[in-house]
Amino acid sequence: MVDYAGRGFHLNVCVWPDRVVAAAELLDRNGFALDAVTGMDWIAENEMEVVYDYFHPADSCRVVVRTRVPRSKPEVPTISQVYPGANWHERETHEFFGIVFLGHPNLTPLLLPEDATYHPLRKDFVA
Amino acid sequence: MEPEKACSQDLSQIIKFAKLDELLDLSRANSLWPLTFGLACCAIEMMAAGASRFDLSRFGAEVFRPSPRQADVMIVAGTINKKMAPAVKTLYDQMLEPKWVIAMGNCAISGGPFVYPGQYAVIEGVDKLFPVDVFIPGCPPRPEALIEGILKLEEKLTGKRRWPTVTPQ
Repeated sequence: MVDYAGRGFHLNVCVWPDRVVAAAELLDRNGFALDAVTGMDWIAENEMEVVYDYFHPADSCRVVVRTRVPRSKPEVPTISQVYPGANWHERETHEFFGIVFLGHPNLTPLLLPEDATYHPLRKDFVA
Repeated sequence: MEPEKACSQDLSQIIKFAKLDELLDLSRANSLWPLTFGLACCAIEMMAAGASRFDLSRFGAEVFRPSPRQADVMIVAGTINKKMAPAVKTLYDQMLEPKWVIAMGNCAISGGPFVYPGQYAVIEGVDKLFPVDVFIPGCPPRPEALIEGILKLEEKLTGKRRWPTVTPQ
């Protein structure tokens, strides 16, 4: 539990990469909706972080699920079969951070050009 | 007064001789048809220039055409990002000759505020895609500036200015 006034969410959960689908299923069963999926590049620790923002539409509760993967092999299972809306969020996170969502039906660039192979929001990106 | 003499006097007032090229230039300059085409906030100013308060029709350039086949001036009003660039280039290629381009605002001139180390999304100036005739600075330029840009384009076509220059008091 964290201070909502200071952080903007009620519950902060850190899970192993193979548990994000289980976390999504648990939140889905409890009536949560997916707000956003984004990434973070912890270049000093040589890790990538994936952040899932959930909210409860009726109970005013916000939950953040985080997971970390090594920068050399940034792979996380997709939650798009649990939340279909995660499809585009994961495509965006993939193109900007280079995080691969295993089992995603269509991991092509969403906002960047179709042939883009670079990941602009990585800390070591140079244009 | 003799009828013949009266006739010649009157005709000298209403008949002018010019080269066909000059007449064509004059008619083109006085009825520039812009392409209905906006990319960002500059397009809002372009719409304001076309609407009643600023009334671009006073200068013959109010007929915004929804098809590049009918337009002869492209006002690039806004940021061109890399994904949009092929579409903009296609529109330019589809316009018939003679055609002119006005780069409206800092984004169309040079990329504007989007130029920074590591930027990966924006074309830094529409002149990287095709030739530009008039650049209008501003972020965004006011409608008066766009009208001035169109007058500059007229000046480029005919070689002379049709309207007086406004100097700030």
